Amino acid sequence: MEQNTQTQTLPEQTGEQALLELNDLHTSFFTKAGVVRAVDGVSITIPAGKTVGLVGESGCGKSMTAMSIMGLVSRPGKITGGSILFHGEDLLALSPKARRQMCGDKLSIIFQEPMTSLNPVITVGAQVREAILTHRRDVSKAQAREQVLDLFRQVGIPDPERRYASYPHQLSGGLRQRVMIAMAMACSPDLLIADEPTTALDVTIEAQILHLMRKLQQEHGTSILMITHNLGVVAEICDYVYVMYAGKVVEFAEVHELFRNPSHPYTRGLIRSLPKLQAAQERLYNIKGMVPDLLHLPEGCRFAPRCEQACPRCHQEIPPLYDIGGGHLVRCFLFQPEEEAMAESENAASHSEEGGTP
Amino acid sequence: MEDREILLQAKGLVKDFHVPGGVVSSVAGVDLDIYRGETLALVGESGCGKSTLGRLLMHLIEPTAGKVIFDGIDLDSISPAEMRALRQRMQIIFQDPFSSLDPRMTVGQIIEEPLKIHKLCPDKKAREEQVRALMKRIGIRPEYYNRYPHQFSGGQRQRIGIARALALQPELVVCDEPVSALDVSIQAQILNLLQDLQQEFHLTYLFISHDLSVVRYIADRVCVMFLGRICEIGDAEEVYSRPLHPYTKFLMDSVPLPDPDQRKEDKDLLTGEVPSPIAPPSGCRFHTRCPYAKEICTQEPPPQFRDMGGGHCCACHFPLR
Repeated sequence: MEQNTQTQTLPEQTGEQALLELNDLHTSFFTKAGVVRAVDGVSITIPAGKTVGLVGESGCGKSMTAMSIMGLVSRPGKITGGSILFHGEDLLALSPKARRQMCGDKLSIIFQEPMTSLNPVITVGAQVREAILTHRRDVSKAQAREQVLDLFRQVGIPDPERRYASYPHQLSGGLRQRVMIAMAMACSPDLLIADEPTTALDVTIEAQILHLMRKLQQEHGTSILMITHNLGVVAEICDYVYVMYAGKVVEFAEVHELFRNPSHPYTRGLIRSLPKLQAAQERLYNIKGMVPDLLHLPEGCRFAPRCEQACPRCHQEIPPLYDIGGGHLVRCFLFQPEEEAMAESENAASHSEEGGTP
Repeated sequence: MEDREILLQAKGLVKDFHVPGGVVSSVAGVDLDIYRGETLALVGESGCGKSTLGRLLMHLIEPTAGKVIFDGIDLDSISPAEMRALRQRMQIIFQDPFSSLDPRMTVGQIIEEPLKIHKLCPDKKAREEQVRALMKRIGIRPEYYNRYPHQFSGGQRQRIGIARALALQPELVVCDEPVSALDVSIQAQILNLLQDLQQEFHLTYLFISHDLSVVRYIADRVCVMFLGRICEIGDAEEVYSRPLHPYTKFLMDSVPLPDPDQRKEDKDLLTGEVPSPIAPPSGCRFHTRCPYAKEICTQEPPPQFRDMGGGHCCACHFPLR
């Protein structure tokens, strides 16, 4: 069942060149309490020049997917299977040195809290310059400095000459995130992974940063993998969206299609449980229960214990991703094509007949 | 309007913090009424003073100037013992359900503690019964009485924090960002729970949040703060459908909506950053970011609280209506 889901292609994307392809990626943590399968058979395609969203709640494996791509999974975590094709080359097969050269140059990441990802005792200018000098041997320090100032201008840091010599703590959260973006864009990467880049920011600053990311993408043609829990951010900036739940992708669609026609009961529940800005509401819908403990995952569909439409089968088998039209994929038995369901039930019936006459 | 009873009143509240490099007026002159039974939301960006104001109203910190009147009692004029007794009637729920619960106490002990402190239920058995009943109401299985906070998820811990606040049957509950640390699906559960409890126990909420969508859902009235001052206050419906202060409008326009057909794309964004509270701008504190600012805005502070009808007030030289 799991096998055939991995080979599905995404119709709208076949015309576009895939920059990054995750195939059946597995990342697990080997803890004393047991094996935590944080990323459990995730397949994701990022077309060149597009923004792809990865949404889900805490613990769904979205950040670990990013860390796996960047080669930042540390013990007791380990990538246990699958492949990560970047420009058609498997990153997992590269030597550590070759991988390191690629990260920061062709692949970049920005994190949620810029304060913890910047070095507090080095000026922000020198930190961004270091990113350039590490990957561009032919650039002199003076040239690199010029490039940094230019980057600061591009990301909208006011008074770049003065800010070059500032330490991270002297900048506001919004400016620090701009520095992080400048650093990530320093080598004009092909892919920028943004892990909750605006979650720690105020809403007016969030709007500015999203605007900046869109602008940089248009200018440089960078692909973006946007990891977020915020459906508003997804709707604002993404072209395609993957919804994750407990280590698995449960739904994939083009962004307009996803919000117009959310299909997995989890996605539908998430969208319905959002308080609305533009209308007063009597009562909020809520998904009952809570996210399962990754150490004690339920049998079958992982959302089944919280799902209002779960049937007995959902508690036994993990559904595959069904294409419900135009490349919109849903991991739910509600969307099983009729012929397939018929064939299966006939099969089951003949099986039970055989079993019934020993 | 007149038939509403004022439960809590702030008059000219100021709170200064002395920091290296100057004085931060975190709350710079706030007048505010909270009516019994309502949910008043305080919204604003980080550093606008909303949490400080919440703590001032609870008398958890002393104001530099101004006073707080709770149900007719001036909190400044009463003795510490009287204040302690009054605390029964006002409780607080914190943002972070991880740091606000003592990790070495069991859930039962945590919820029971306020009852013990206020000697409300001297009989041990009866007290335990009361705690179990409360746990059940709040959605934590009473069998978990002897478990520790780390054995619960964020949403459940927030429920424990709520139970602790409600143990004393308070009249006013200050909810300081109670759902911002929670996942969306859990957030909805907690918001609904807070609403049910308000009905059941006739609570008055001061709901502090930076999330404008959450506020719209839960609040009867909304108070928007910017850099230590209130810039707009009014019925939620009014404020959301007809914002008067430019800041309120920009705040609302900045929220990314879960609808790709309503993208902001390159619609005018609020430029610049929140000015430093150590050296706030002269005149209207918002003028450095305000696209409508005129000469007068840079010099004179706006008239406080011009009522534009139905108690919808705003502090702006040029309201948007």
